[in-house]
Amino acid sequence: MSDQNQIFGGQGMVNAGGINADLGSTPTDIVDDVLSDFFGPSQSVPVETIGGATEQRPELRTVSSEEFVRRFRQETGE
Amino acid sequence: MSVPKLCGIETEYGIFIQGATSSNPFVASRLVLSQCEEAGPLLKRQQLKEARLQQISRQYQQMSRDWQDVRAADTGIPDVELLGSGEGSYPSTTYYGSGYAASSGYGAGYAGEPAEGTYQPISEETYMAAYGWDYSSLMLPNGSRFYIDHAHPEYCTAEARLPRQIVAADKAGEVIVERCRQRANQRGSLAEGQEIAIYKNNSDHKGNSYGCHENYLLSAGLYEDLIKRKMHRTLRVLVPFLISRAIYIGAGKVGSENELSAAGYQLTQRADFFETIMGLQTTHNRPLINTRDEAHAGKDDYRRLHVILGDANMAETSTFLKVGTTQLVLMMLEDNALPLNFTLDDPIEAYQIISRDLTFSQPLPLDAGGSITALEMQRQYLSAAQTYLDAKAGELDDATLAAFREVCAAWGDTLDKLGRDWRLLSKRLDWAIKRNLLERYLAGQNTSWDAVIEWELPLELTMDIQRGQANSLEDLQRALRRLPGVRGQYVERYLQRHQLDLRQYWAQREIYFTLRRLDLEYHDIRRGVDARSTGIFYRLQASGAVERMVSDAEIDHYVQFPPDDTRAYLRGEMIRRYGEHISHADWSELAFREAFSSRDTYLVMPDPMALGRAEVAELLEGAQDLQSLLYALRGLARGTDRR
Repeated sequence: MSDQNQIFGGQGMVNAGGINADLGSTPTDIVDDVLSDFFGPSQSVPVETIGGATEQRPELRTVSSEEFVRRFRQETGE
Repeated sequence: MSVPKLCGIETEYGIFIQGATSSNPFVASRLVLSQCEEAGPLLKRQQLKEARLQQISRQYQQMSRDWQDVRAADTGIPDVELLGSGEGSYPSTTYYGSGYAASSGYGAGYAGEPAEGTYQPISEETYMAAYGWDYSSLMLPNGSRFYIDHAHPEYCTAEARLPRQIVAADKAGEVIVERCRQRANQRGSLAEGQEIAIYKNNSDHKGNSYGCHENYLLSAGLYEDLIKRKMHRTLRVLVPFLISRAIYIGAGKVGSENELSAAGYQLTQRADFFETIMGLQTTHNRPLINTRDEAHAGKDDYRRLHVILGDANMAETSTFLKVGTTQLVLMMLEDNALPLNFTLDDPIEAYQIISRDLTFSQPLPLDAGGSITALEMQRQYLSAAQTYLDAKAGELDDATLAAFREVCAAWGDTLDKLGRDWRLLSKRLDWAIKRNLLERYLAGQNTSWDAVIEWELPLELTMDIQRGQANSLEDLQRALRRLPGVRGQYVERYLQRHQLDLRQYWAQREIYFTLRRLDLEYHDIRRGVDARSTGIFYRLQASGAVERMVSDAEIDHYVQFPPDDTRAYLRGEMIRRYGEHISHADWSELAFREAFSSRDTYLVMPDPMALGRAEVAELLEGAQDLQSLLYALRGLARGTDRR
């Protein structure tokens, strides 16, 4: 058997990982940890209603005029 | 029996330079490719001569003046941050920049979004490091190709036979790209605070999509049938399969693009970008079936099916299912063993419906009347595949049979779980892993996809309102009215009709862009030593929250070595052993410039299945020198010639 077949289990099927029928869903604490790492110690980005003061800067993308007209017509039937 | 469906995956990576004004993806891509030490002797030969370097320096000076002119006319906010462009098309000047940056910084371990005004232009030193050498394509000793496709670093795996091999080779490509990125950041002469970021995704969320294409070896006869002579087979079987597999191969995406209706969350990154059934093009008016006829093999016997509608996958099982199920369907098509007819009334629309249907229950109208769901279609393909494998048990070799039985097992288990509860796949499939993460975030904000969908359109239409201009309700109303044309009026009416409170505007905008930011960062390819230097996907994987199909040892193997059982073995080993003599390298031929000849000697490899380890290892080991090796290979390579 070649080295590669040994690695990929040409005969014996060395299963380095693989399908697990009892997979289950991801524990929420793992996801929470990842989100916490991502956003920093404050756990999440601030969400505020009008009048609040975040430092969030705006996304600069604008919708093209053609796209706007198309959406406008789709939404209003005009 | 059908031709083995060898497969290679070509991935266009999204790239930009964090912290740079005019983050030129061409510069970034060249910096990354220039650090490909894995190419060995091929890379070392490419330094430019002094005169050419001076010319490039002058080019930089001119560009630098142009950039200053652009910035002088701009708003003062960092300009033109490009994540990439569409599959080789030139980038548009859409903005990427600050929108994704929440108050905690850019995230995913980056040092943080520089404050406005701290961005640095790309320096001449950086520019020279990128352009001071002359190669934009490298064939590597592992048989793969690493190159620049216009504005992207692109990696294409060597042709391999079995799904696990292909998964490992795809991940090996990621490892190589990431190593090059790290070296470029360490040695690429970037200014302080600048860092190259690379994403394995398919959209910059600005209307630009870049691809992850699969390439499958077909017999010339099947290719001619599917593309030219019997296109009804394509419409009956191939198109419905390729679009319905989105339910397990999709990488997941927040929002919609390409002027389509609001989605909130959808299964695929790419479905929004397909507009026609068949065509040669890949960068505009994208076709579900690409007809590019570049065989990269002996054209009388073989062709390549260039599948462009799939997503780039982070999850190993998504890739495993993507290539494994597609190989099986193509095998059945070639053996005329797929008696299904799912000709759809509108395949383009069906693809977008499938992508947006998180319940897998949306009926897709069939041309002959009636309808079917994507899940039911996939169940019928699976059933046909199981029957096919049983019938072929005596013909296929043990390894191939075992490999495709494993595909069927994974396929069946996945469809079964999709029919019960998608959360059962939140460790397996990209879209489910990502959705689980995003819904956890939404739950923390006490909101849901319904709200995201409702706010998507008004938020997209008002992105040019800046926070500083509209902190109060009155200011926001005034800002709406100042929008060009009737856009503000329309947004106000939309808000009224949907009973949305304008006072929630900034909160909803924060949520929407945080979702998009998390979506993007899921595809960050960094695998560092700690959380700050590791992308979201790899943090989840390191925590055991992602199912693995291959081991790190298997991936490392393909970082260094080609597959054993295709011509990639000879290609890779010749590059490893004689790379300094190679004047040209392609998928099906290598050219050698040697002292013994005034002309290049070509080694032509038209048969993708030939010239593997079993055939040529002894010759390679026993060769006295390149000349005698090429002479010995002449008979085996069926076409080794001297031009």
